[in-house]
Amino acid sequence: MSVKPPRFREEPAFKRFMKSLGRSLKGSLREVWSYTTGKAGLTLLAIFIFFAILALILLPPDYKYIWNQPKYWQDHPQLAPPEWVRALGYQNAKHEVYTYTKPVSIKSDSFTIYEYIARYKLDVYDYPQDIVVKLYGIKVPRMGSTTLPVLLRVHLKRPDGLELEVIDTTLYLPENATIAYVKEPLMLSVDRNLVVTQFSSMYLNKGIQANFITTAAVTYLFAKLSVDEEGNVRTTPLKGYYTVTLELYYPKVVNITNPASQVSIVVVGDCFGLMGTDDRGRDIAQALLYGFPVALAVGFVTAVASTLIGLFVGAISAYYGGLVDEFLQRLIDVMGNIPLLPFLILLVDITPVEYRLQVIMLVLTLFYWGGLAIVVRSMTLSIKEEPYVEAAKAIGASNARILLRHIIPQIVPYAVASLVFSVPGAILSEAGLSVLGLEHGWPTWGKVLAAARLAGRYDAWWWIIPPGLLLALTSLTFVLLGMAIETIVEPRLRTR
Amino acid sequence: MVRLGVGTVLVRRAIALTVALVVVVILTAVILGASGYDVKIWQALIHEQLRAYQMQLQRSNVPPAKVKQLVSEYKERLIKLYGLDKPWYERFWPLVSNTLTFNLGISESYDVADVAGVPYPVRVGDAIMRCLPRTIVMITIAQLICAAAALYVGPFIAYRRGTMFDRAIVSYSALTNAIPVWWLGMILIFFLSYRAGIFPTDFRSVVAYINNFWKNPLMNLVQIFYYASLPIITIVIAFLGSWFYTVRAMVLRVVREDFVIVAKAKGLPERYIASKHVLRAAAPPVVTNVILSLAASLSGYIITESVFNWPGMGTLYWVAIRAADLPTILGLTYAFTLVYILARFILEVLYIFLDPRVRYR
Repeated sequence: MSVKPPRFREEPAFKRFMKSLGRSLKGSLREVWSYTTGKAGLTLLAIFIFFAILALILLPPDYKYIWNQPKYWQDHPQLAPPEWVRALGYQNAKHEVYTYTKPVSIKSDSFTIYEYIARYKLDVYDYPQDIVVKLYGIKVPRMGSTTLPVLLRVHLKRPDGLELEVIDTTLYLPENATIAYVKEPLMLSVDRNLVVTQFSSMYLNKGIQANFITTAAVTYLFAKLSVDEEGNVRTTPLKGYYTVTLELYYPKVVNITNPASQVSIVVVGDCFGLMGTDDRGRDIAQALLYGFPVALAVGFVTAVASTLIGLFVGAISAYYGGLVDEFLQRLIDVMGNIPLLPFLILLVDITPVEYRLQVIMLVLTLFYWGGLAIVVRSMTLSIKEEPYVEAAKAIGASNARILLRHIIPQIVPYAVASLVFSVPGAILSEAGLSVLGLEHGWPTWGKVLAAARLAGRYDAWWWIIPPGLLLALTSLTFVLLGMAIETIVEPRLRTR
Repeated sequence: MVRLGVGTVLVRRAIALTVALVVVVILTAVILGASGYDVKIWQALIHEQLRAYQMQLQRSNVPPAKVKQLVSEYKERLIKLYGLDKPWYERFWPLVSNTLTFNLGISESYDVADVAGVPYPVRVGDAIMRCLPRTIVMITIAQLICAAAALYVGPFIAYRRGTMFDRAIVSYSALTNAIPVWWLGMILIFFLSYRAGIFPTDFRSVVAYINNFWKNPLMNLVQIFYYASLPIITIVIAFLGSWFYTVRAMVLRVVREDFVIVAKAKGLPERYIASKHVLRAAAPPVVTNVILSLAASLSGYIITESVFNWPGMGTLYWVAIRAADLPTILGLTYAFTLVYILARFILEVLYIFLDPRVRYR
């Protein structure tokens, strides 16, 4: 071994500390991979990070806002299981979206009529939940400086030949409608009263008094109807092809070739997407995807912050001793006696909603460092007595240098193990508080579960199982990683 | 190091724990007071009372000018009555000192009375005494089952370290450690209550059977068992793994000590080593674990209880927070901390018997 010449211009202590931290992390990673638990943990972690990045790319930045706005979810079925349950033989009506960029046909009458036609096949014994039309960038007919109204009609032709008006309305579009309805479309759903009126008069013409209920209007649209003596309406699903026709009536004086940049006819089914929807029609798959970056951020920030505090407080407490030590130890003692969860709930409850997630992270950070600090303190106490620390002191090294260069690097592996073990804590706490009913506005896994609990829908399996599984998998990931790291830093735990 | 007598050590610990207890209660009060948590509630209450008063005056044809004067006088009286004219630290001081002297006061909340299952208004002490047995029936019993199983099986696995059985137990504990207990509760309610119909879906009804227990002990016991079994099963499944793992680790640490190896080398029978050497040395951490877990169980599991809609200590605390019911919040925080601190003190005393090193410290 060659003797290094004395260097006079040294790198700053902090930079060197970070470098050594980086080196030991890299070394640990390689070592962790050599264990089965480590391999499993690292693989799971990589998957988690992949989904977190995917969420950041796929979901819009204002997703938190969108999630809480009912209007964005009007064209989704409510409380619908995933689409793939149909493959298992479940009788759930298909959810279909028909999108057009130009009308299917244009008729000329006393109006110019733009038609959009969709054919929907009902192939199971179930009723779709709604029919919704969405119009993007709708053109405003103008005569001079005044805007003219547009007539919008939707009718449904059933397999049994019956034709029903579903929507019949006059749109008084504002001046800026074309631009205003680009991001958020003009959305209309089945006019329940209109449907019920038609059915009632149809039966009255046959001389039958029947009690049609407004809330069940969509069911009647897709059903074979029968009326019993008391006038109650019985329904059975009517299978077959349905034709939905959307007509836009523009005044003839106006010359428009394409009335809207995009038109969608949505037959809102009884199943949706990969993971179904909740009671407000929100796509659970999206919320769960969004939950990845939030969970990882909450877990990591809390774990890193509390580990750093624990590491430094523990080392300083042992290194300086005396009053500093006494004060810090008593502080840890008192904090250890505080009932954490009740305290956390109290603190979160008195915080305004928009800061609650941050408060959860802050409080957990403040409570988590104590345990590590005690371990670090006892380790530092023994390292402090090592000859090389004495030697460093003798050549006049500063306290900061000894701590950063000689003591802390030795404890870092333990701190990393502790860090990894403490990541799920904050994620689970957040989820728990959400399930309890503490709002914080962010769509997280816990919030999805909370919505199920508050709605009292334990029976919606697609709603309660996936978020919990993700929470469990997150914990498992870090437990596995932690176990691998622990085995490395604590050789006595090795099986062989 | 200075040698301290056992008595001195205990007195010092007692003082430290008492200080911690007082600090926790004061801290809670400071958080509640400094954040203006209660002021909003009081102001809403005063607003409500003033409106009622004004309506009453108007109905009895008091001239409008007089009404205004009377209302503002009444408002001042109310503000003084609720102590809102004083800064928060003066308002909270009596509350803190009353709490510390077990004078927990009366709950102002209908919801708290509802959870306790008694007519409004309810004394905070009564509410706690009503909810405590329900938490014991659900959580403490579950923890006792776990502890008993772990104490029986834990050392057994420690001796068979590395075998398939040991690996299975370790995997099970890693798995259940990852599953949040409240989520397991939701899932079990879904499968066993809704799908299979074995257990009830509404657990709140257990109140009637616990409150009227002595009218027909045998029938009520059966009913309580019917309601409590699913929560107990949930907690046992969720915590058994970590219990096994902890006890196993504690025994393992001792099994590798030199004195055990020496005992083996001397040719002492395994059974003798297990009972005289290993168990004796592993006792302090195991006992610590058991006592602290049981103490913690008395405070209830706030989230799990709310999932099961179980009217125990956790639910009581949650409802008190929702209703901003200061006496109950403070009283429960005090009770939670007191139980924990008492448990820690009991441990200090037990250590004298369990760990000879304490005696000669």
